[in-house]
Amino acid sequence: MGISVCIASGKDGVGKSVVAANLAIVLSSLGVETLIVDGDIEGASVGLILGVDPGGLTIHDCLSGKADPKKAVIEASGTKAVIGAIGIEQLVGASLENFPSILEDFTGAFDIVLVDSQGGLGDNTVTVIGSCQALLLVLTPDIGSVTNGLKILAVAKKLGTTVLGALINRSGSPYDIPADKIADLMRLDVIGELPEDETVKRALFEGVPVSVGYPDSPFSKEIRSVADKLIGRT
Amino acid sequence: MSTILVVDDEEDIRFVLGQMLKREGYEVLSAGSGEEALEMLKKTRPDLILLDVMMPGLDGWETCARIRSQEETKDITVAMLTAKTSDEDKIRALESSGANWHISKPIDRAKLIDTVRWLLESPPRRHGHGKDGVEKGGDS
Ligand SMILES: Nc1ncnc2c1ncn2[C@@H]1O[C@H](COP(=O)(O)OP(=O)(O)O)[C@@H](O)[C@H]1O
Ligand SMILES: [Mg+2]
Repeated sequence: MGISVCIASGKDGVGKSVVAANLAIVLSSLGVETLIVDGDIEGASVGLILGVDPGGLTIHDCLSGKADPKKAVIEASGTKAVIGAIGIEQLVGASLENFPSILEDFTGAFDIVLVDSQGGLGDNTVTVIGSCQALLLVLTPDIGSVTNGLKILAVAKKLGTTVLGALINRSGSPYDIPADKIADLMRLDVIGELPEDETVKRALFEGVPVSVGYPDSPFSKEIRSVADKLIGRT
Repeated sequence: MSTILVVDDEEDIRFVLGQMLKREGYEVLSAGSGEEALEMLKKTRPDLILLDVMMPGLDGWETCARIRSQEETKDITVAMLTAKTSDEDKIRALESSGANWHISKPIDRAKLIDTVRWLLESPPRRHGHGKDGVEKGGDS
């Protein structure tokens, strides 16, 4: 039995999906049986970040009961993934009702199931957080991201989802709130501080995961250190 | 050297915080209530205010709101202090009360000094620039 870990944030745009997809790749490369599931059913982007062809089965097909979840698992960049649909017809009205049971099946078959989520506190996000055993909070080092992150922590507490720690992303400005201040205020471990890094955007543009296309970039190096720390604690 | 105003209704806490900060060379002023703090702020302009939330009379939230609503005091850096901190308190401190930061009691000396240094070195936040003549709650 593995562990399900939601990658969550108080708002979108902080880098959850990029972090989740690359973390999955790195964990897999370290020999951990890892699955990344796109739980952001309205704005799925894991497939795009992994650079895979969106033609196959998706989490939406699993949720609607059209596909056996095991058959929706694809392989990309050395990791396993269940990506989201991109067609509008499938996105409108998609429901996460079956998500907890689908996730439980996956958790039985992998060491770690990373679940990318939609930012904020909407119903879908709350369902995803509540379905996962644990949560990693992604935030940028600014006040808005910290306060919205605190709301996620409060929700996780209420739902009984264990908070493993925080990943600070896009750091490197002199106006950043320092990591130790964030850790102190939020009362959680900062597991990694991922730098603002052009290669993240370049890799997205090129359609290759940054940890594959640019393994020596500052972002990729820090993702590897995050993976090492996670293996140590889960 | 910077001047720090400590506002707390408990004398012991004012004393302990004062000792910690004076040892680092800061000039320390203290007030036993929100009312007293606002009175002092008519004459002095500290660089940082450490403001307890739970006080009889004007509590820390209201005191902070008044600091932010006056032209002469609105840009002073304020850190709220709370015991038995909930996530809601922290969110309120950073989001709606207009404080710059939040510090949980019991206070750890090393962390306090480090946080105070960081707050004093950070560029001041400018409050009330969001809407014409109307104070903003925070700037998140
Ligand atoms: N460390 C980084 N350095 C530079 N750009 C980044 C970094 N992390 C994320 N980005 C950019 O931010 C955008 C949003 O990232 P994404 O992972 O989609 O956020 P979220 O899933 O939280 O909404 C991406 O398109 C990417 O260009
Ligand atoms: Mg995303």
